[in-house]
Amino acid sequence: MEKNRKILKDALRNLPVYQPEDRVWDRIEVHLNKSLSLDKLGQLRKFEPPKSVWDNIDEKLTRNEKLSTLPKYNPPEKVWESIDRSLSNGKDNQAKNRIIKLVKWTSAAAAIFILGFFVFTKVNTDNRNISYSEEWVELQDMQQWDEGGQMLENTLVLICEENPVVCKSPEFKKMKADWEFLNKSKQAILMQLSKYDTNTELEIMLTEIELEQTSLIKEMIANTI
Amino acid sequence: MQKHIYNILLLFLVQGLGCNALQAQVKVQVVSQKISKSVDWKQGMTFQLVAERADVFCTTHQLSTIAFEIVFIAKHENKSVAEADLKKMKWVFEVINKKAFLRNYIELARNESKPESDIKVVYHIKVPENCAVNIKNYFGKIEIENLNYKLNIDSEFSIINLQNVSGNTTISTTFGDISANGISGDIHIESNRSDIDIHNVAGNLDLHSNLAEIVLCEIDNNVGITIDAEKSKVKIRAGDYNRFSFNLNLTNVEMNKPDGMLLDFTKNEKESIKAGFNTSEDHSKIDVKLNIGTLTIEK
Repeated sequence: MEKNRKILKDALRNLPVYQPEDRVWDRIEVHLNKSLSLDKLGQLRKFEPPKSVWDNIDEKLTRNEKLSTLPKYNPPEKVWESIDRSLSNGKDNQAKNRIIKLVKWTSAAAAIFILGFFVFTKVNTDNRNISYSEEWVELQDMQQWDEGGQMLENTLVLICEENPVVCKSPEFKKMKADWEFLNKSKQAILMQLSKYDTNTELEIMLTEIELEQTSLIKEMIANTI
Repeated sequence: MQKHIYNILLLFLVQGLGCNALQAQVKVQVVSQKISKSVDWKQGMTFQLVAERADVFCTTHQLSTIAFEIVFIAKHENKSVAEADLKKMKWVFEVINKKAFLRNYIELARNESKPESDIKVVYHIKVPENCAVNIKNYFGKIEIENLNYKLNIDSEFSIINLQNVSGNTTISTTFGDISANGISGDIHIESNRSDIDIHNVAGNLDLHSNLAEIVLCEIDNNVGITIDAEKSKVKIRAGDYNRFSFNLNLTNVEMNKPDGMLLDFTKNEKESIKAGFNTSEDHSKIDVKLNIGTLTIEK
């Protein structure tokens, strides 16, 4: 193996060496130029860049021009010395950075806490401005309105039992519908009666309803006779 | 001796009366909460209120803001019950496009019972002069003062009181009496089982009523009044009735009028009357169409 390798190296060393003439290189260059001739370039597809590209280029050029016109200063020696010192105190800086970061995060947390406090307070405005007081009041009699109503309702049932044919007449049905509307309204009013306040207006309404119901019942009775 | 006995008896009597009075009274805890808010108003923005069991007071102010104050009140013998019920009373206010919308409601959490306390809401609202107002209320009271642009009320079981209201006014009420002093512009009222009492009226009044006692007094020269009523008592205190042109269409109506007011009858039957007064003259018109009831025209 070792022997063959030496033989191969010797054989390669003994191979003849050729250097191409200059004209060969010239022809290669002519061929390359031909392939990139203007005609071929002309056949390539053309793209118009958007305006923003030109604007960017323009801006960069302007900025470079401006930068080049800026005066240059060399900092005094002590500045470099200061930088050098600060680099050598890297550990101290890291500690300072940590403190700064800590302060930043604490401030952020405090800001969130304060904001949260106000948001929380806004949501719970329901608990603000609540005041308390006491009153001595006379309890209102709520039962009195139920009794009359029940009596009128019973009368209506009695009328229809006595004379079912009349109850089916359109006129009677209309009166019954009116009576039921009044009864519904009366129930709605009864729901609103206050135990602790005078209910003058509501009681007037109830009285009017009962009077009208009574009048309707009388009319219904008259129809059955 | 007799005087002593008399004094002792008097003392017992007073004590007895005092005890009775104390027995009838209870101590009630009143818990209330006040909320105030104000928002900027822009031209064309309307204010809409949907209220329940509320006393609503609304007027105008010179500022370009819609300002309101809500007071929630809960009354109960037990303080904690009143407090808990107060928390069930909620309100919402939002401005969407050109509508400022305000409402109150009862919110019950799961398994939470209805309020046991007597609850009430009071609104005090102030709007700019050119702000249209739309109010809906169920039980309570509505009082409007100095609104001169656009007013719309839709209410049930709510008493309505208007003072110095003009512009376009539309009211729909059931079981809610209307009393007004100083109204003008275009007024349209639809009422059911509600009495109407209007003083100092001008402009166009269009009234559709069922089961009402209607009283109109101090009527301006420049009016156009149309009354279309069923089962109602209508009273018109016209003052000098010669200022007006009357058109009457009455069915089953008992009519009372001044002796000097001579009507032109086109129909004069027991159950039906069609008559006019000053119809050929260019006077302000008062048209009354009434089916069952009474019509009284007074000086």
